Amino acid sequence: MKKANIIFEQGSHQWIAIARDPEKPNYLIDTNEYLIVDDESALLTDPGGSEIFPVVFSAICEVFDPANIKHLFASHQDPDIISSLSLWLDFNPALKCHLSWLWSSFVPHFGGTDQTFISIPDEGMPIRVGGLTLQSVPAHYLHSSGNFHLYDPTAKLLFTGDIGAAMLPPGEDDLFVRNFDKHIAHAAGFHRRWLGSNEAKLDWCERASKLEIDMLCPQHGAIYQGQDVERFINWLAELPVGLGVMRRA
Amino acid sequence: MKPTQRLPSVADVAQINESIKYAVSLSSQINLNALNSTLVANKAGAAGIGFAVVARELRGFSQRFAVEMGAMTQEVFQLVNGISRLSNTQRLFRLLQKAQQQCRENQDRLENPVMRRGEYLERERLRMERGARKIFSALEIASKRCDMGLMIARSARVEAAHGGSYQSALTQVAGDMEYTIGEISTTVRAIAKRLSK
Repeated sequence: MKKANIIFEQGSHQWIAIARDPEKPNYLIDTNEYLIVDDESALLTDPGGSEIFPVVFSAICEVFDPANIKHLFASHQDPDIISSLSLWLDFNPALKCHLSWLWSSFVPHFGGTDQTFISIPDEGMPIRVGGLTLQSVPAHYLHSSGNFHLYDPTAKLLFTGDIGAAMLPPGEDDLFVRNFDKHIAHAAGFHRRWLGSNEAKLDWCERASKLEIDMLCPQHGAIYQGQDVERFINWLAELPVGLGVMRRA
Repeated sequence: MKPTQRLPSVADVAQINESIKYAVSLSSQINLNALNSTLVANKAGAAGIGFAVVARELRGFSQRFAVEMGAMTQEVFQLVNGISRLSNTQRLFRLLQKAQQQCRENQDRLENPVMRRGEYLERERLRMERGARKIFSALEIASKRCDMGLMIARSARVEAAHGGSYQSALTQVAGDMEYTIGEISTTVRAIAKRLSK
């Protein structure tokens, strides 16, 4: 079973990480979902694949009434991000799903109608959840050609989808990065292969470095916090990515 | 032939579709053979009149059969749609039930979604069963039409015997058409068998 962990709390404003399922079959990639709560309203980031819906839903139910989830946020179009959409809509047909305009006619293959989706323009836009204003941060060509991260300026938390993701070996299941150098070895291959553009990467690094970030929360692996956030951004800026890497290999 | 109990799989339906295409191609052979043999019968003059009448009937058989099979292809297409909807719904229903079972808190939140998905699943299953039964009925009609076609082809063989100097050619073509209709009949029965498996 996945566990719900409160990683930020200030009054009725919370970030809850739904992470680590030891019973998950090996053929499914492990994912983190984040529930951003303000009072009785919530947004769920990258709600996950349909096969993990039961564990995500039941973990949320432990700590929060799922009827109060009003928004879904899909960083991009992959099945491990959003193929559970039809199940979430079964639960609440009024849910709104925020995602890049680029995928607005692709993701409906997982479920939903034209009433379901709120298309995010390339430059990003604010997303209101209860009294919070979250900011969708462009991260195009970083894993997906229509890709967004989600920044909470009050909590100073940045949800980064597949940026910062690490494929952790069995046994290394800490929710937070404890040893950056050891951890980053599990992230290097993933970033080298999946990030298509060095230019886009540097642009993102520059923008991210200007944000106040206490925690950088990826969709796979452990959460970076404190100094590790800056370390990660610097590491990423130096990492060779894109087609050139493939050619050299 | 009994209506299907088990809903057919996509593989079953794909095979059925191929068989329908094969049966239609055979029926167009009948149409062409019947047309050609009518021309031969016309050359035979009065001796070929009986054969020409029967050959016209065989052309009618072929054309009606092709139309009916075309309608059946539409039903088969609907069946493929239904099977994929059903399969997806079954999977979503299973996942919703699993989520409900795993919830220790707020378990009641999924009662309505599970119920709605279950009802939809049942409606889809019934719709599929109706579709499969419709195809099955059409196959029964097609099978009877083939029996009728075989009788006409046999009559053609009898009429060919009166074909004067064209007797041999007309007998040959009548035999070919009888064989082909037999093949169509076997194919139609095989489709029905696959559907009722």
